[in-house]
Amino acid sequence: MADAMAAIRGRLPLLLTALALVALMVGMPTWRYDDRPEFPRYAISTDAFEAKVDAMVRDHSTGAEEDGMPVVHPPPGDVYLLARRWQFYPVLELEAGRSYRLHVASVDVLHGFHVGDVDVLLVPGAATVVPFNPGASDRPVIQCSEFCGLRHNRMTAWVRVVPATAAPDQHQGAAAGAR
Amino acid sequence: MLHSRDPLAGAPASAWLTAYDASLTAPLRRELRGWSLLAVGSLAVAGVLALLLVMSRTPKLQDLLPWPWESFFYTALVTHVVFSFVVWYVAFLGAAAVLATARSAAGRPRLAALGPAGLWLGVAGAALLIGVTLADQGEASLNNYVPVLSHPLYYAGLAILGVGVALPVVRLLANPGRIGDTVEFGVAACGVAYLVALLCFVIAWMLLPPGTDIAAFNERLFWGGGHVLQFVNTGLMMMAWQSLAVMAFGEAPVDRRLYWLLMAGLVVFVLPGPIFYFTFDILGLAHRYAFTDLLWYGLSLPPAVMILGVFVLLWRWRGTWPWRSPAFLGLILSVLVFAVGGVFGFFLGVSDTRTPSHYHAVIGGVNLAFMGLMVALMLPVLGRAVKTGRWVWAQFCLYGFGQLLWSVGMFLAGAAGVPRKTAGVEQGLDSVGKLVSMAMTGTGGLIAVLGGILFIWFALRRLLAREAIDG
Ligand SMILES: [Cu+2]
Repeated sequence: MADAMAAIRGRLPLLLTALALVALMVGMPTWRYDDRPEFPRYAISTDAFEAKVDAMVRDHSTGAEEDGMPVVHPPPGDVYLLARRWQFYPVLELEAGRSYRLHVASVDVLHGFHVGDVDVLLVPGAATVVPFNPGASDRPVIQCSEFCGLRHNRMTAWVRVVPATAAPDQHQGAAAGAR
Repeated sequence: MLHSRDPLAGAPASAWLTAYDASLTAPLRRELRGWSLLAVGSLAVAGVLALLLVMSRTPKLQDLLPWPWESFFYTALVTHVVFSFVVWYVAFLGAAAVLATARSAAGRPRLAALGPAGLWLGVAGAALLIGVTLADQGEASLNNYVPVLSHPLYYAGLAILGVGVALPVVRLLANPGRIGDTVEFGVAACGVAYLVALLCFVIAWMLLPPGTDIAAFNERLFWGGGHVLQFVNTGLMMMAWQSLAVMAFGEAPVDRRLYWLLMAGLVVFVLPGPIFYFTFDILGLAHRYAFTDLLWYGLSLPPAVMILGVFVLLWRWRGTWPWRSPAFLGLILSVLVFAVGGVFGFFLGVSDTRTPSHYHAVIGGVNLAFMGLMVALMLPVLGRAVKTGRWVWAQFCLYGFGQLLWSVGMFLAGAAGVPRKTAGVEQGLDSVGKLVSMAMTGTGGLIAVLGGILFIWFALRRLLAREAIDG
């Protein structure tokens, strides 16, 4: 009884809507979860990974602190970042225009590593290697993208991007050669 | 026949109300009243919990609470979200299913006993949720869609509530209505989607490996089914729009075949849901994206077409808008708030500060549609109509514009300073923008709460009255 009158009626809107619905459904197999970039992963032991992070903090700490965490300025190349309830450790200070490989791993529960278009699930027991090349004007923010408990929403880390130092960049050359 | 502008101005005279009045037998009337009470009552519970939330954060007042307030804050927050976002919606589905069954079975449904059984289970489930909360049991987990207190009885409460709502839905499907009827077909379609959501919860429960961390367990337990439930809510809202428009203007936004197509489209899109559990690892990334994409692809077009229809309809009747009709107010404000939320949705990031602006506007749109149908159809059919007048007008406008203000303010706050922790040159400008947006969200939130309180007060008073008396 409700349909004696209607604002949108007739065969054309019906046909167009049907076509649009079919197009959306046929598009299913091409949905984006199929073409997300896969990053290399390798198995780790929590202790060994924590040792690598600690060594990096010890060798390259800037002396500064942020939110009670050391700020670290590692050379270009391999950088270790660990995720745990509810922080990314340590705070990274990276040089603009340089190439880094972030080795990210969770040492307790499932977390997510999200920065820019990159979204990686951090399964405990494995590290993921994500290439990272900050630009001069970037202020990259790393967020946990998988609910991990009470302070999940606060699990955010800002990467400090500083101008590249003038010194010749041996580390980058060495790292590139190693690959 | 349906040109009475304000069917609720006097006795329920419109064809809609008479038709429902004739088919609502006494047992079905009791069920409808019960589900309506549970729906509106759950909003009242959510409101009381919100009050406790504020208390537990206020010095001096927090000492009056019989619970350790640090942890009780999160306990109350979880149950507040569950009652305002889950119980209110599924209880509304229960009420809508009874209404649809009354007509489709002409008052004499097959499997009649499922109705009262479902209602009792629904009430028992909700009571269990309140009990666990007041006993301050279990750890609070603010995971997506259905936050929980990690206590066996809390999960049990949710399960009992879920099954309770499923029973009148199954009864409706056993008494299939006319395929061209707005309420009968619309609610049946939403009912199928609801059963699919329950199936997702069950599959997830069985697939989640023992020993999974509790946060990940809760998140992935409710992730898939939670997404499917949004199809149910949106479908019910579209059913409400189509009905409210006819009540307010005697004209529907879209014709019967297009309505059928949109509702059927919603159902078809949720069908892959249960399959995802077997094609993607339940704890994996693809599982997460599969359901997000389901929402993006399946839940954009149908409401958009309906919104277009409502706009055309409003344009055709411009100058004669019945500002006092709750049907009209519910319709126009719901469409407005939901449309704004939909537009905000296209800016969504992973955990952007703009995310809440989208969710709250969309939820506000659904709430307005449900409030509209409750005031314009369910209460009058029960012989408990709210007197149309300034207060009903105020209730809808306060809630609607409050929600709008809140969401726009939140969106501006997000747009102003997303990943900006260290202050730069822009700090001065930033703080002005922040101040404006904070003022907007503050005022908007307060106004919306006032509107919500008015609705609960009106509806609950009528529903609780011993005798069915209009006005
Ligand atoms: Cu996390």
